[in-house]
Amino acid sequence: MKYDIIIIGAGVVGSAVARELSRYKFRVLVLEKENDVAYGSSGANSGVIHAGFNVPPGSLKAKFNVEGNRIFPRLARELSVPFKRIGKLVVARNKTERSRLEELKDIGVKNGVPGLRVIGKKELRRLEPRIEGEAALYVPSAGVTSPFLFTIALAECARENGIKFRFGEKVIGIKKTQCGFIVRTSAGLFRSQVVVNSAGICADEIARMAGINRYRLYPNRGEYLILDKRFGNLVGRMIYPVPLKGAPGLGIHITPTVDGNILLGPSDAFIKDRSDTRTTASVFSRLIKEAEEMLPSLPREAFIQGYAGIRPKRVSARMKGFRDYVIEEDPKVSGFFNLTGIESPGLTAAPAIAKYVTSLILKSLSAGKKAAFKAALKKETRFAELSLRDKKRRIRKLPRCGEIVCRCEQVTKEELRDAVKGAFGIPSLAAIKIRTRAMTGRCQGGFCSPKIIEMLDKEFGLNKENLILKTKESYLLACRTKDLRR
Amino acid sequence: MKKEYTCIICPASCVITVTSRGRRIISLRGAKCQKGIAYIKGELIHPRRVLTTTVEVRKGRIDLVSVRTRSAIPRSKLIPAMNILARRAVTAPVKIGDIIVKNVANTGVDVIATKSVYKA
Amino acid sequence: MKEKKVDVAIIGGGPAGLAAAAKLAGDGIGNILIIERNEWLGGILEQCIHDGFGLEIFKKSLTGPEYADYYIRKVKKLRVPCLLSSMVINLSRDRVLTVARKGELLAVRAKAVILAMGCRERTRGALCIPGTRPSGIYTAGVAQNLINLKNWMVGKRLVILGSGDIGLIMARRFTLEGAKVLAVVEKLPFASGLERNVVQCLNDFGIPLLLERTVVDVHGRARVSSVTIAKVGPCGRPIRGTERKIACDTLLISAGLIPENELSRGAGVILDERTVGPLVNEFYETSAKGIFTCGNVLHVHDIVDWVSFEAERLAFGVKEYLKKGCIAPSKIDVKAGGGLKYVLPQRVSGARTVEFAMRVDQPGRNRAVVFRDNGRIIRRFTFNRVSPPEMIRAKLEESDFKGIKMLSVDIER
Repeated sequence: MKYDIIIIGAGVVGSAVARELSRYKFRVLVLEKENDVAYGSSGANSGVIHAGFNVPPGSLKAKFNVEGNRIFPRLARELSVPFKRIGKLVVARNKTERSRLEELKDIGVKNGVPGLRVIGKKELRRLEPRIEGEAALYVPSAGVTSPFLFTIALAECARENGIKFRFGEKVIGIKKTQCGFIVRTSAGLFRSQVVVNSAGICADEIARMAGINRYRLYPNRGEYLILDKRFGNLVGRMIYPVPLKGAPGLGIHITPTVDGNILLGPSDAFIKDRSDTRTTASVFSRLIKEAEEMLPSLPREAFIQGYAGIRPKRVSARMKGFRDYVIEEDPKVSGFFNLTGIESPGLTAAPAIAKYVTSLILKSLSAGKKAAFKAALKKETRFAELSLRDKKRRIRKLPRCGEIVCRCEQVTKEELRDAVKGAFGIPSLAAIKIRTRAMTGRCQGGFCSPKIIEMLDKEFGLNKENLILKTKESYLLACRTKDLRR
Repeated sequence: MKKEYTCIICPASCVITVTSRGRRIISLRGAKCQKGIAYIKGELIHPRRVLTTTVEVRKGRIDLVSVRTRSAIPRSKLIPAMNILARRAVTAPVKIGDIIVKNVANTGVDVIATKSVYKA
Repeated sequence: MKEKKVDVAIIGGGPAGLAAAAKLAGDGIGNILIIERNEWLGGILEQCIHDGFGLEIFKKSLTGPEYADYYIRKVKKLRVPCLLSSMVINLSRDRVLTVARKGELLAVRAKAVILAMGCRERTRGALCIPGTRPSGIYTAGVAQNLINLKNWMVGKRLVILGSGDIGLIMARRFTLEGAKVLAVVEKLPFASGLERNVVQCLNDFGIPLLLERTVVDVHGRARVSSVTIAKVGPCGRPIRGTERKIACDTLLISAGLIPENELSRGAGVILDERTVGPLVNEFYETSAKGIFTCGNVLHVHDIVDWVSFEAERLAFGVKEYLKKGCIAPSKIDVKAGGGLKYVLPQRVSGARTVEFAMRVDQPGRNRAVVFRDNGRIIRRFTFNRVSPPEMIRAKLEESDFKGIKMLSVDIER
């Protein structure tokens, strides 16, 4: 099968590009090496829709960030993705830091960020009584979303509009031919005229396969801790420290998630191995220590999980300085579009990047618009978030909604079955987790995971090889109870 | 030889100090009841345990029925009994108290179901 | 919404809920409703297929399902209505429960509510164990559910973190089924589970118990490939340079149980920081009027018989409440002093005999539990042996309470 466009990587950027391209009569294939979307950095971040005050004016980061923030609320509604514009406070602890707030504000104003305001100690106290600080930059346009649900919705919408996805297919070679590309994967060969490289942390490797050696990505790990929802009201807005000049990250911040938890993190550390998403004891204690400086009443016994994401940075620890996103058709390899170094604010910028890339592709490849394009994706509100009346209504309509399997996050049997049926690849526990929030609560699946495994086993007939946590090799079960004694 | 044992008959967990020469017990101190003394004597000479495990069930609401030996069997027979039970399967319905295997591993002790499993 | 009115709503059909129901129904309380989220009664006992239950009540060693069966038969015989596969999603302070079940959302208005939701396990995340996030990390209870009820072995070569009873029981269970348990790792200098379980579950099979050690790292991308353990210092921190890697495919976590009080919190029930369960008086009434509690949701028990006894004492309180519309005020505070993790109940009326439950923070021999009123010794109970896994019970008679304002309990030599 010959495609017009092959997109490599189904992270938030690849999925957004796929959806954008699905407006046109292109034949598009998305190749993803993992079993699901949002597997890499797209799923392991703060879930923040940034405002755009700490990226240099005139940069692509600034442009796409501010535009992404502007279009996000509508997009979220369209795709039935949760979004809360809760606002952000950058908290200064002293006079020096306070003066930095004005600098940040000026950058923000230049970038076109609306509503920025430096507030004093009194107002900070009023807004966030538990936060220690001298002053703060108030950023009303910043918000939070679910990076998983957003990416899933983008991909599902693209799929409904005719885009093909292939999961579990790792690209291992790219050959430029006279009329396009041959992309070799672990499963076969695919031809296309255009390739979009949105491979996240692997984008430099993918580029190299096409003979492009100009990029090198330096993996930088950010670790997080998640707090029990019980402590979800400690803060109402995102609380950020004043970023250090030239630091690779934004500093350890306190982020209320769209689901009602609080995140601490992320740290920033350059690492060698780009797939090394482990967490470390030293960073855990650093996260707690630094968060405590802003939030002294942070409870110690509040954590339910830790995780880490990898930033695809274009600067190494030694190089320092600012490097912008690369979003361009390669000057030498025509038809090959590199989307490289998409780190924070990548989640926010993705929809704007997608529009921009699409406009670049349309310059060399023309196609008419699809009349039947459906921009919207209708999804039911999670049962847990419904009012009592609506819960009752939902149960009357779908009796299985009364069967609650995950008690911590109140996930129903109906929602679990939908997630299994709707999964892109093998319905792994991770795929079910990110779609339903089952097993993500304070008991981390202590009550519901055996029930979910049983459902996959008995109701959906998954065999042992397909009962997995996340990747194909992450088998959950060794054998039947009696197998070792037979 | 002097050795301390913790009695496992009940949660009182008496610490019993035993002085012995070979298999002959010279003195036994610390047991609050006769059961403890009997336990230590048994433990020294011929330890016995109740085996609790499961057996596969066909056509039941669940795939395993929990079972036990009716009384304690020699500790050395635990694994042989497990190997026998791994190859057994019963068909639902199973009632609590039903004999699943008679005289398991020639111990003279039966294995019985400890729960009822109804038909699927 | 469909509304149901009952005298007593019991949340949870495990040992606590069943024993309370059996006692209340046996004493003639008619309108009781048990609400159970599983499709069966018996709670966690159904997966606890090992024996050792019921030594106090039945004077013999029953397995979990057999113990549960006794109470299930009893409540069935007494025709106590049960809603199975039903989840209470909300409890209000005025005792209205919202129950979700297949096809309906139900409001249950109760004169008295008994919280009997049990507890949950402490997870890897709560323990902040760093490392990779592969498959093969299970809490002991989840592994127990899978191996005993769902016919699945979670792994073949296991390391168990925590020597709580479930961890010890699972070490034996996996060994019996042919898996290899490489070590049980315990942070404290003594086992967290009962001594008899250390003997029967570890010593019998030569499974090493590594004390004063903990898991400090998890390795393996897709599936656990090994864990690093290290010695811990007196402050509980791992000591650098003592790390040792153990190759395994599974890490089981048995590092403590936490009373499951989300519904209680929602109803405004005040919790004790020490037990993480509700504050109660001798009638097992919480800070919210008409809401009672017993079992592992109140404090984590080591022996199910104590749960059943507690439920029976609670039943007395519930009957009093139903008869009089309120419970006699409890004005005497009970303070857990030196050597104790907690003491229950935290408040007493002084008008009747009370059985206290407590847990020591250190193991020891020849210790005394001393009850005092403002320094004056009221009673002294001596014990040959005390240890944190084993709950201590001690009774004060009605006459002991004469003139008492504040009660304190200490462990002394």
